[in-house]
Amino acid sequence: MSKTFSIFKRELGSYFATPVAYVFIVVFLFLSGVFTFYIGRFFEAGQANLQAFFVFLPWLYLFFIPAIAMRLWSEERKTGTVELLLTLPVTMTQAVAGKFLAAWVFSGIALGLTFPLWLTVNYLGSPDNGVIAANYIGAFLMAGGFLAIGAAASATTKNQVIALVVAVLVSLLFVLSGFPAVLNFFSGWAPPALLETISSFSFLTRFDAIARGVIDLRDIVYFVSLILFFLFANAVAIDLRKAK
Amino acid sequence: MNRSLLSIAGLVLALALFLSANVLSNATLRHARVDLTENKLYTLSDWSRNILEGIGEPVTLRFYKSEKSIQGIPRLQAYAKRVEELLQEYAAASGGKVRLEIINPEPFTDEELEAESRGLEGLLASLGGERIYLGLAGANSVDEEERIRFFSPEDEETLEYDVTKLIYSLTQKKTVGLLTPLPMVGEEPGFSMGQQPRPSWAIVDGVKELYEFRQIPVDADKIDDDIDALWIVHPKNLSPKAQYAIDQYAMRGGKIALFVDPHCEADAPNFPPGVNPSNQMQALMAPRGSSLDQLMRAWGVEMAPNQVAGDRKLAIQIRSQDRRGRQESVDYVCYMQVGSEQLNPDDFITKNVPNKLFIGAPGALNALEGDAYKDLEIETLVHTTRDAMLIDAARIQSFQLFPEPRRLLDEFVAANQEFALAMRVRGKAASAFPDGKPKDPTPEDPDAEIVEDDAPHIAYAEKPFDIVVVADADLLSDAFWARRMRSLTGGTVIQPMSDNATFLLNVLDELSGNARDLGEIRGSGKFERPFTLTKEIEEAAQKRYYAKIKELEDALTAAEKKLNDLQAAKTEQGGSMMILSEEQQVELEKFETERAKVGKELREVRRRSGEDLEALETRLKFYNMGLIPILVGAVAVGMGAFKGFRRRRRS
Repeated sequence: MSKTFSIFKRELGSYFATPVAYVFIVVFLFLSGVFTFYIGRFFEAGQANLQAFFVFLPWLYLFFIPAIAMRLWSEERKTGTVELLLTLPVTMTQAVAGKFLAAWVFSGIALGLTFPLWLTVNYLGSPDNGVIAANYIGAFLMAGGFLAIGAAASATTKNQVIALVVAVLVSLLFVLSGFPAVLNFFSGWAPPALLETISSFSFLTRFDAIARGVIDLRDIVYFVSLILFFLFANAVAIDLRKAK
Repeated sequence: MNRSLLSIAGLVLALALFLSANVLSNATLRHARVDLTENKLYTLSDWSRNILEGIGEPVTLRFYKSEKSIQGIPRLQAYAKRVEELLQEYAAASGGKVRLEIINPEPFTDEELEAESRGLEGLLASLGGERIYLGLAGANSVDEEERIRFFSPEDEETLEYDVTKLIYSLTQKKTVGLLTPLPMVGEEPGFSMGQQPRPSWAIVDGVKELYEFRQIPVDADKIDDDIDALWIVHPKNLSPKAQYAIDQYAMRGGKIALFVDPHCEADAPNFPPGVNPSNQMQALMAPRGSSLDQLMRAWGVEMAPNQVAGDRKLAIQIRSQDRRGRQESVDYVCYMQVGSEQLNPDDFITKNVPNKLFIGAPGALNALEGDAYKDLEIETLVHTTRDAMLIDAARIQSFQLFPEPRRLLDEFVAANQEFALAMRVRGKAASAFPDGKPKDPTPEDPDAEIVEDDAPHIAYAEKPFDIVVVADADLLSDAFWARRMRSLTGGTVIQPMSDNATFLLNVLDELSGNARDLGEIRGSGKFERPFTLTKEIEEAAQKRYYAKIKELEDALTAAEKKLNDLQAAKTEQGGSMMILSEEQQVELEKFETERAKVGKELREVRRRSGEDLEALETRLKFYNMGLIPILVGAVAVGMGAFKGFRRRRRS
């Protein structure tokens, strides 16, 4: 456990050692502000809630989170430090978990720095803070989901661009899985129960469900199982490549 | 090679685990939730549970959900899941009294026909004519039916109220009798040849959903005892016979919701085409007030005769024409937006009105004092602010032809008194007809049968009565609370813009003895959350600049008047409009300059009054979009410098 923690610490520290992380945070905050105030028409709508912010968040995450995930493994591959990492007395699990947790916490920090929005909406009116809290929890879980997919993608190749594209595509699949286009692919041969499960796999569906203000155990099971699955895939990918 | 195969196998296994874990949890973990909303919108409330406990007979709920077709619309499917789970909670909490059946009406099946026959509406899904059903048909043990035609996600806020109301009205329906000369109840289809039947007022439809509804003729001579609540609206020119019937109903311990009005806008004359314009004018100017003075005074209440209350603070903005014929938005003091501060917090009726009431040209009520009222408890339910005054009803009447809301505002002088707009009277009092039943006027036909009514005259209330008197009838009309919109399924739905209907239903519930739980649900969870700060800033700016704008507009009008006088004087003298004396030329130029200057100042002031709000918005945008990024950048630079400093030190 403590080994995982030390990997986590090292990773998180390394994020802030380079200017990239700061640039990332600044751009993320600025863009989410633009979406909220200009495209989401926060002031014009005049409602005391953060809908204008959260409705765009999944789409912002679609591009920003895989970018964080890229440096998880692709870079190490390129510079050949993967092997170095694995000769250290840490298990695959601890390495994968430590890196993932560091990235997740980093995304959480970026999300948390949007707190002025929460203050603003309370200053302007009297919003349902329980709903806003639920939205933030849902967003954090969703970020974890995107990250796990990205981590798995980044472990498969040393080319960061390809990894990014793969990560975005797979994430997109999950985001849109509730939509008819995706369902039609399965509707020919899958039984209705499976069909409903497939559409319930959409990030949007799950996030919308939490965004109402209710944390359902099923939604937590969904995100946790998704993260675990993709981290497992992540470990498998590293392992396979290592063998070569 | 072996290793790769093992890994792939492991991956497939993991995928299967992932999928099955979710399928399993979807199916089984139905009740594990944390509801973080402020009003617990997603949990079955205790009030609903109370009502479920109280129902005496079994109820069957048939939930129609088109499983396959609904998957084409993710939003609808998610909502359908929520509805289904809520219905299951109802069944579980009812101790077996509510039975839930889930039916899947796929296109062109028997189930679809069944759904249609029960009055459910389907959403047109595709060009192929397939319909998606998401509705509820409830039936009780005597096969009476109530339904929710289509569960639209837009009505999510009132979901629990709609379902509880449906169950309640299947097990208990009190009777409400409506007595009114107004055309509140719609015509039956086919009544007027070749024309669309006049629809009911939306509020009547709302009452019909929860109550057994009966229309009582305006010349009724008896109010039946099975009327649980008597609803009187705008009782204009009621015959003494009808008034006596109402009086005796009260004496038997009756429950009455009385809506009188010194100026009822809904009492508008109907003009069939071809009516002489002067007749139109006359009809428009005819008095529109109603009052039941004789009865009300017996009950300890009087309404200031021919007076309309106006409130400057609560005034609603309307569009009107200013003095120079231009469109403008102006506060009309007789239309009021009443909020929780003007409602009685102790009475159940007004406690459960979460949003505003829109009131139109109300009267002012007064509680009478005297020995005759010693057994009565009279309390005010709704009142104005102190920034209110009484205005002659005749003047408001003339507004029909010559609207002048701006002038009313300019001449407003606050009486520094809170006027009561609605009161509740409970207890006992004497009959309003101390001499007994009023004699019938001599019948025209001397051979007509004179029916003797042998009901004894009740001189003093046998049981305590409960009467709510409201000094406005317009709040019941569509214009003041209901917006008719097309629903997803093509039918019409009512979207409330104010809580007037909630208020009426609370009144009828209280009077008829309906479970208070219903009112609690009705009044919960429907909170609008606007930006209160921006509203305050706008109001403050308007007040600050109102005086200045008025001053400038007056100056502008004066300047124009002078100009016109000058032109008129010239014509009088017989001179041509074109030739000006030198003096007049100078005057003309002076006034034109004045007018331009004042006009410019006016625009400037109007612009400045919006500035406060803009400044706030800009400031907030900076804090949100600029502040943190700048701080983060500073930290980055700081860290960089620190590291650089450390590196230099080491070397």
